[in-house]
Amino acid sequence: MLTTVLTLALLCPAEVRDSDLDRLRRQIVPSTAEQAWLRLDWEVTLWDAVVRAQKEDRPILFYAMNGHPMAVC
Amino acid sequence: MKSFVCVADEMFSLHNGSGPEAELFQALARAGFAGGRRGTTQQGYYYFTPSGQLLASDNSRDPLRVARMMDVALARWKALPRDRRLLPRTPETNPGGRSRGESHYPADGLVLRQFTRDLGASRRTLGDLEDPWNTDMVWISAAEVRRMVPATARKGDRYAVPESVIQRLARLHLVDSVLGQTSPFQPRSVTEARLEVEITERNADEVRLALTGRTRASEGTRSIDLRLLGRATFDPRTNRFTSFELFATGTRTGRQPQSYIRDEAGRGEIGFAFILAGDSKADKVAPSYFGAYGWR
Repeated sequence: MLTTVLTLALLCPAEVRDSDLDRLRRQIVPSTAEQAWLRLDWEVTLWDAVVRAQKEDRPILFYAMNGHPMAVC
Repeated sequence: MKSFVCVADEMFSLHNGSGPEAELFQALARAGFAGGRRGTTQQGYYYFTPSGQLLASDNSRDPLRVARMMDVALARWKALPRDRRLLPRTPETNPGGRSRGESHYPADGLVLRQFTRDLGASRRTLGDLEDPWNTDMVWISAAEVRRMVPATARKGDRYAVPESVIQRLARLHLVDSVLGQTSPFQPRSVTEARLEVEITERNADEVRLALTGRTRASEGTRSIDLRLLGRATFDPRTNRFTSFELFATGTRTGRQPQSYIRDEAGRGEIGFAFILAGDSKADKVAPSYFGAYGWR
């Protein structure tokens, strides 16, 4: 009987509980403060920055990384 | 920073590619702190004019040093006459020879922002970062979305997410990138990849989904074993998700193949979150391993 119950528990899809998802969100998703740099007014391609800077007559600050800084780096 | 147009971009492809955008960066790199030399990292900060003149460059994590370099760049900018700091005319928005993954952005599909970080007692540190995390973007096409939420699906139905979606997640996204960019898994290295949908509610305005699954992958010195759990809400009138959260948690073992990733723990708990992305420019960046999506 116990074996059957355990087997069924392993085979059945996990129950999706809001409380579990909320806890995982708190544990994994960075806070607003941690994500603050992502939310600055970035252009995300070098060329787009040149086009915009030309129009606005401003210098360009280019943050260059292996892997896009807004993705995996 | 408000004095500048700030841009963040991936420099490896610019350093090694071709076309006007790559050539611009290569010229900046040659004039910059690392001289554009092969085998030497060109990562860092470059301050330059729209006309392509380098004002300053550096590679530093010291905020005061970065701020001083910004002041130097601004002073040099202000000393330049307009006809030297600007191009004769506004450049084309998308010049010929420029190839970007961003041009394949699935505006009618599903775009998720991914976060990856360690969980539990065996969290790793990265320099002075006590709780490092990394991020990425996930793209799902409109055709894949239609298969995720078929018009004929009813409350209580259970079915698998398209194989293409879960395989991409398992290979390209559910990789341990907490301490830095690592390699995706080869297709043969994914030993299990399943993600199932259950329709928990359906009416004319809304479809609610529960997501459960598991992925496992093993390759070389590393392996990962994850359980997936999530929820989503879909609007059948617009064929778009209005909310989406998918989490993957489990165990990572072994060491990453990259020598620059110093992983002393070798085993620990890891978590991934995939959250509905917004509409900002940052959320329209191509996934890191978009080249392996097969969409080009």
